[in-house]
Amino acid sequence: MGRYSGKTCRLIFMLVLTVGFFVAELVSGYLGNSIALVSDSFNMLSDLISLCVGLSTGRIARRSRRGPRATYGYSRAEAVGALSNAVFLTALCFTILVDSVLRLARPEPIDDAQLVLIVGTLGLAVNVVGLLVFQDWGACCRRPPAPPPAAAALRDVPGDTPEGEAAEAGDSPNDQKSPEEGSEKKKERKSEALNIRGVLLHVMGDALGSVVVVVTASIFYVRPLGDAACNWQCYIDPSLTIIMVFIILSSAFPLIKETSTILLQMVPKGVNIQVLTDRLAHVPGVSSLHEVHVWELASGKNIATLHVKCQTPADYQDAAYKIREIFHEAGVHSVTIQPEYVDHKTSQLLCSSPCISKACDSQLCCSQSEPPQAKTNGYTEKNNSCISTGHKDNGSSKRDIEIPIEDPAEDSLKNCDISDDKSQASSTRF
Amino acid sequence: RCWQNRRARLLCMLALTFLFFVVEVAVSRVTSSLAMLSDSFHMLSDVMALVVALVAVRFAQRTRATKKNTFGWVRAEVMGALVNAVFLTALCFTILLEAIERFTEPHEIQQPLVVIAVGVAGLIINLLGLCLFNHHGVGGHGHAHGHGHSHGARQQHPRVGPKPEPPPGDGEAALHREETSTLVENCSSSNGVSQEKLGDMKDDMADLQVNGNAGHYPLDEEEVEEDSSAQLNMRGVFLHVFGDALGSVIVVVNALLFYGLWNPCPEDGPCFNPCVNNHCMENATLSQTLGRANKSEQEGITVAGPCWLLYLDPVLCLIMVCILLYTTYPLLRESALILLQTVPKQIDVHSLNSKLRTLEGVEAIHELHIWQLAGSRIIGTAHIKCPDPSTYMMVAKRIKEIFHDEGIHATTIQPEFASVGSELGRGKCELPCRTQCALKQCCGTGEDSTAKKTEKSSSLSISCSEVVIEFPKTRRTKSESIPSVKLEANTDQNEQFESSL
Repeated sequence: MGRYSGKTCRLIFMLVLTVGFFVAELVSGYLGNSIALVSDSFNMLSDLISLCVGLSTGRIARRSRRGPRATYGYSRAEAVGALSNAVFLTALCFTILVDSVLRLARPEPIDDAQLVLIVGTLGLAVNVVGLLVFQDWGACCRRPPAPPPAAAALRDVPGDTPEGEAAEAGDSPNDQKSPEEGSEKKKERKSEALNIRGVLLHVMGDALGSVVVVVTASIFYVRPLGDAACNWQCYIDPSLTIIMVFIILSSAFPLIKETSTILLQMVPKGVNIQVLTDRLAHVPGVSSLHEVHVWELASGKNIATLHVKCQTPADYQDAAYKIREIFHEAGVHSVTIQPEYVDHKTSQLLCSSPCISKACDSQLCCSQSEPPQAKTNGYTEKNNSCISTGHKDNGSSKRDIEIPIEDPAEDSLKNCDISDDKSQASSTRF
Repeated sequence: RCWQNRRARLLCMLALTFLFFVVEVAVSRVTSSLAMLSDSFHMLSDVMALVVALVAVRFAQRTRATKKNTFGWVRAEVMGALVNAVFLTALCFTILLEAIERFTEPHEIQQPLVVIAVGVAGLIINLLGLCLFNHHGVGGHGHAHGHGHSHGARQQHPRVGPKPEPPPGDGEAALHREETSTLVENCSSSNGVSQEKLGDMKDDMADLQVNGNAGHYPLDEEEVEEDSSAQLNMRGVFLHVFGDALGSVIVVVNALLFYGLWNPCPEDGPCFNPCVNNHCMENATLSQTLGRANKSEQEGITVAGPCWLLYLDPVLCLIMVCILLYTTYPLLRESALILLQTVPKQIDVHSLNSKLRTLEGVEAIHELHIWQLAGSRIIGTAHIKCPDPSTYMMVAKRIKEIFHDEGIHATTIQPEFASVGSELGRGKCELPCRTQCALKQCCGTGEDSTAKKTEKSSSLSISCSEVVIEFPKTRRTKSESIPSVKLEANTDQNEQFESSL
């Protein structure tokens, strides 16, 4: 792709530079007997690895084609790559910490301070160049604007679904497109940022390591130790390294937290699920909601699914549009709504159409058998009384084929109490 | 119960390992052996892996939805497995670097006897850990087969849930069945009621036999992999302990060989150590030995023992790193695939799609997504286009059954009614978000209309026009019963024919 050629060139340049420098640093580290230099050179190698991981996942994510193996594409690869980089860095910090502690126990002076100083300064220069390169990339990656044909085609769709959607669709898309584009670019930047942040973290750790090397070497250069025993100078190297480790860890942690939000299917940051479900429950036509799930696929793309109970199909269609409006305002743009029709036999709160048999309960994403406590997962009840319509008869006849839910529901509630007790008992036993 | 079991094991191993770490540090201070100190830190990394696994297990117990996470925290174990796998890879990387370091500067082992003793103790602890976690080891076979075979007899009830009563002798299995076991047992009666009804329906649908067999596999899976996400997590821990055990083996072997074969330099007298590359020493000893040699040739000069011994350690380390990486890679891959929201291995989206399309009343399907939350919890969503609500009601049940047969039990099906004044029923979503949100959607509604532009267009967009082409008859029969829709349906058809051509 044309727009990536500039970046690729820069990356290859960075890669080559880093490899060359790694070799140089390693050799001089052994010659000069400086553990800081040695660990710094290994940091360069780990830098390379993290660079490769970051790039490959970025490329995978950008390709992002849906296929039979991945129905959402691979846009999540960036989050996984960022998490891997962060964990890798944490593990390396752990080993560096161990080495420093050992050095504190057995301090050794730096032998060839001059060599170490020279190599350390060069290393710092390389790291600063790297930081600049990546900052530049992350900050102003200019994407071409959103593909216009798609937007135009969508604009031409007349109002198929009722009410105002036609008006919205044809309604001055131009002025709505530019802020959307702007925010879309921001979101793109944010998702790039997640991937690049992993790599940046490594480069920053590298730069800090170089700083420590330069400081220690300059101290030894200015005040050489010669053959004397180790004085306070020998303790600078390890102690500075320990400080450096803590700085790196403190910046790796937020990255881990952010990627966890995505990977653990947590509710995305900008969405308040409590408020959202309240608003949804107040949509006219909606008797109750359950199984409300909101999660983030990758930065900026939020997905929701929910089941709504309505009285009639007409109710559902009216409500569906409004539900989508509410989600749109909350920042969730891919919504799948499953309508269920109110049935006297079924409790308002339980799903009328879970899987076909009750025994699949453990495979459901969230157990149906658990009684809906006053938790926020959209288990809201409306005060409307059930109005029976002609359609409801069809629904109830269909219900006969399904497992009748009310009796097992009671049983399952009982069982859940029993099993809850058991699980509580077992936990207290432990 | 199952969780308690896992947690108990993890905590037990954690305590043991930490104790041993403390002991090793103390011994290394007493004997001032640097090698032992660095080896003790390998134990510390083990402790960290165990802590990660424990945290994941604690989290994953909460399967209820919460404010922060509408799915509960079931996925925590998969993430724990990934973190452990990456951590292990990083450790392999550092061990590799240490080995390279040893190549350039070989060290002698001081006081091999102490090292042997501590190494053997560490090996015992690691073997104990391996036994503890072997149950969940590489694939958890021991547990799996028991269930697999007992399930083999249940061929004739493919669509009913797991067998009503658990196998009596399999105490472990009963423990592993979480809290839903009582639910399963008590629901067997209700399953019995439905079973008859399902049996009636079975005769109607010929393809059920095929589905039955296809559905059998996920049933095995669901029994066997009751906590497959937990298995992933435990595998991560197992691999850490395994790596540690390998390390202990290497330490012991190395120390034994050293003790047996090494010819150390005596403290007094000249000694020539050809293995250690130390310029000053070399010159000093050489000049000394040359001087001595002039005096008497009988005086033997002790030469430090066979040099290859010094290189044994790094070589063994390299081998260990290769073994570890080879065994960690599958775990890394598996957990990453789950976290990437890919379709689970055992599900074929194409066949699912075709099964759904062949249903009467289903005109088109789009936005079909299948992904695995954790373990055996697979989630699916789809948008199904039907001519009108009553058709949908008839077909909804069958749709759920098809999903169930594939092992997907948590589904959200969105019906869309093409009859409500649409003309471009070409499989485009009837209820997308506003047009400008196209790029923020998970897959963009633009994909259907730009299906031809994408080089590797998903089969789904093609399938929509396919559906229309394949079933002209059904649409006409439908249109008979619903005359109001007839004209529109036909015009739709023609349009789509032209456009597909």
